[in-house]
Amino acid sequence: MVEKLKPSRVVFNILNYSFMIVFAFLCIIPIWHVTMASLSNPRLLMSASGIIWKPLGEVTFDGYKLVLQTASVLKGYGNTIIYVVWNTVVGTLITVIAGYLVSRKSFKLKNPLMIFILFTMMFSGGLIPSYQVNRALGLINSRWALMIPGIINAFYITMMKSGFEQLPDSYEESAKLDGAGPMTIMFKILAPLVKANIAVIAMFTVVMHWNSWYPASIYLPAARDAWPLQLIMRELLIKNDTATVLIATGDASGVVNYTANLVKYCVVIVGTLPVLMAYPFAQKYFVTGVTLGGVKG
Amino acid sequence: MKKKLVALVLACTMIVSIFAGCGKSEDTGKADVTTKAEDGTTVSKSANELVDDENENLDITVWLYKDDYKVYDSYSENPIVDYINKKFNCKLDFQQPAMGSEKEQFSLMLGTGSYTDVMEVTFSTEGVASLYEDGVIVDLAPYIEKYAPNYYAFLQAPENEDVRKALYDNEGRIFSIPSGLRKDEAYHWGGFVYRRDILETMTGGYVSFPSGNEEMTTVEDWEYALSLMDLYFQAAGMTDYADLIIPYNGYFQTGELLNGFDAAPGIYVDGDTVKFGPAQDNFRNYLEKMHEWYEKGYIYKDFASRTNDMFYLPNTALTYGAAAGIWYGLTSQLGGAMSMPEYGLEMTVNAIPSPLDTAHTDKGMGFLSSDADRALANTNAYVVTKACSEAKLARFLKICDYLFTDEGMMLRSYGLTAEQGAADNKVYVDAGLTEGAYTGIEDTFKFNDLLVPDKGQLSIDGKTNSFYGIRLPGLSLYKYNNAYASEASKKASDEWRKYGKANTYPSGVSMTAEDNDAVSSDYSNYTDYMDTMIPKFIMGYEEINDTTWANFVERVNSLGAENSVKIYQRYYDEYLAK
Repeated sequence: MVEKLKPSRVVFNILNYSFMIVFAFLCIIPIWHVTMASLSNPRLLMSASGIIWKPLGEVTFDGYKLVLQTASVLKGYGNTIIYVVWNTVVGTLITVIAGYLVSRKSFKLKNPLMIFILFTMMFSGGLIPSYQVNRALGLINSRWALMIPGIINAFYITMMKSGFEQLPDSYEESAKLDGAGPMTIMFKILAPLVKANIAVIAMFTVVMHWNSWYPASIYLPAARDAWPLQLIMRELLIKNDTATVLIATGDASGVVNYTANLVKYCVVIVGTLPVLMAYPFAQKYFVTGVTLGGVKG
Repeated sequence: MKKKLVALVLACTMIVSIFAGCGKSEDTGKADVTTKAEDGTTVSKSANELVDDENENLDITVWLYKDDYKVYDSYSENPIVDYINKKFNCKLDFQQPAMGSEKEQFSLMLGTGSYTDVMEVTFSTEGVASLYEDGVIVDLAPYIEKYAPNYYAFLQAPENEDVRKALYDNEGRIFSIPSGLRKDEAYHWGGFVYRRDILETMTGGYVSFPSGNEEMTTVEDWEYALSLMDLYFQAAGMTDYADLIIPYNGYFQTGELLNGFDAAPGIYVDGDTVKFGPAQDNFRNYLEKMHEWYEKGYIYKDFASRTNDMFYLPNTALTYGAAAGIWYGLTSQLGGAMSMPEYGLEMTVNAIPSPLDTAHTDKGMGFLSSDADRALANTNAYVVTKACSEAKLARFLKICDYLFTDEGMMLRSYGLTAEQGAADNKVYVDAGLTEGAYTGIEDTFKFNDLLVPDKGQLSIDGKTNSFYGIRLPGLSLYKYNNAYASEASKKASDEWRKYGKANTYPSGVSMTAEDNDAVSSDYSNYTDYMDTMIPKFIMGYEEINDTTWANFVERVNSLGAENSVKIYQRYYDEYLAK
């Protein structure tokens, strides 16, 4: 039997769906605009205003050619993958261990350690002290500058702690009675029960390190071969600034190469496409992440 | 209790670690070059004691911001640097941060005390005098005479008085070696342009300016053109168009437009006196005219909202979309360069000077900061740090000295010849420049075909800067480049420089850190106020009358303009007395 919907429910559904469609549309428009602009005639693009619904003039891939022909872009992809994989795998593992440790009621230094961790979340050492520490450790212009200092995040530890604390004590007690040691309890019994937390932390880490350029600009100024994709993209963007290109053509009879005008759109697509493609597969974990910490029934 | 104690100790440890980077260097700030003796003690040596063993290969580290080189990434790979390295038995090791991070990296270098031997100071937030006072750099004056005789002679030459005055401070010290010095002038790159084709269309080819000149020169000429442009855009049914585009704050901080009204956007000189432009009556004349034009619809209605536009590239949707009449344009936009015949878009763009306000002035104001004076002495320059050893300092000065000779100037400005080993340089060989970048000199000078400005393939590809050395310290020469400039570019440059720059405050004058901070703070305060009030005056939200004008002047003065004038006057007096 199909239940007949009340009129108020129908109205609600119409409004709800309308709102969600408009909201989805608003989210898609910027990506659509950038994609269409990246395929447009660069000279026509300069004279366009507002949202671009379809490529202006004949479709061109010149902007993508310019971006992808830059040798360092492919190298940047490789570097970014290294940083993302390392920080996600190792960072998440350490976060799980740290979260488990500070969530144990029997751990006597639980509170002091938590204060220690929370302190770093609220007060940063600042750029110059951080730089000096990294320099003293010999990390400047080394890949390890992006792979060691930022490997663990205090906020993620609190997330993991919260996840472990929500599990009944009886799980751990039962495991102990069956002869399980701390490692077995943590990895085989409790960790699978908080895999949603782990997945969220892993996804946040992936996104954060995929988009990261600032630490590399500070700690790897001369190690261009180790730059992540986003830093290379940023430099490419500055190099191909429209004004720079127009001023570089110093004579009235000079030929202006407008293709550079496409670069700012192409780097957005090239830089975000992999994450955009991966997002649908990880979407359910993001939804879980939003509800983390909520009251469970 | 024990837990709380542990927590307290850990938290205190964290707090202490925050201050790890706040220590002050024990550097004494002395001007002499310091060196470590064998017993570990630090000793100072004067210029006369310096010894440079030219047989010893030296690695000199240089901090330099990046530029776009399509042929290589690091300036260490520059072919002129390679030539210098071989000639002077050294290795100039350029350390270049990622583009966009320069200011931060420079500050970080100063903050952490890990200086390179030599630094380019364009991105320094402090003046060179402040860097010296902070003990970061050395006074070069004693060494220049000994190790850079050509450069010393250049500074003493009467025709280089402007550079000498800007470089030497009152105690006879020199803190930097310029990299932006020009022996002659390049053509100017931007200024007002207008759509001539609109006027031709609206008059059937019989354009007749009130001044009787062939091009727009006076305020009346501009009004004639603006009225025709307004009619043209209306007749075309356009809703979003601009007869004239001005910056969001209502005036050009570089001086254009205002200079035609004999007004200036900030500090300027009038004879021996320093004045503040926006507090002068001619500035009011400018505001009244802009308000009148805005009311008539000549000025872009939404100009005040275009806060992200650069003044030299305003609203491209209007300029490149054929919906603008007059704007600040670039050389590359002149003539028919903006046309798109395949889409039925034809534009003829001509260069014009700022309009002369003949009702109040017959000469205009010689203020044009976008056409910086040739010295740029202490801003586009290299300094030598306390980290540099005595031998490296001497070697670096010898390199600079060479780049101030005629031969060095040609090397910097026009690259390697065949005789200088172009065929042995990988960058030149890869680019097909084995016969060198040019041949001949004076009347016989000839660019390699690949490098002919705006015509050769390497020039069209924007690669020419990869083969020259103009970012090194030394002199630049533009005359051979200028010979290849089109007539349109030459004419435009003359138009844009019509009022000269005699009233522009000399850019190279350096101040003490204290005065520098004071004028920076003043500038920030009165500029914020001006940028709020001037659009209001132009758009009519604030009436321009004797009372409001007096209030405006009083307010900018109280916000620091008056104080800044006093400081600038003091330095200008010293500058003139040198």
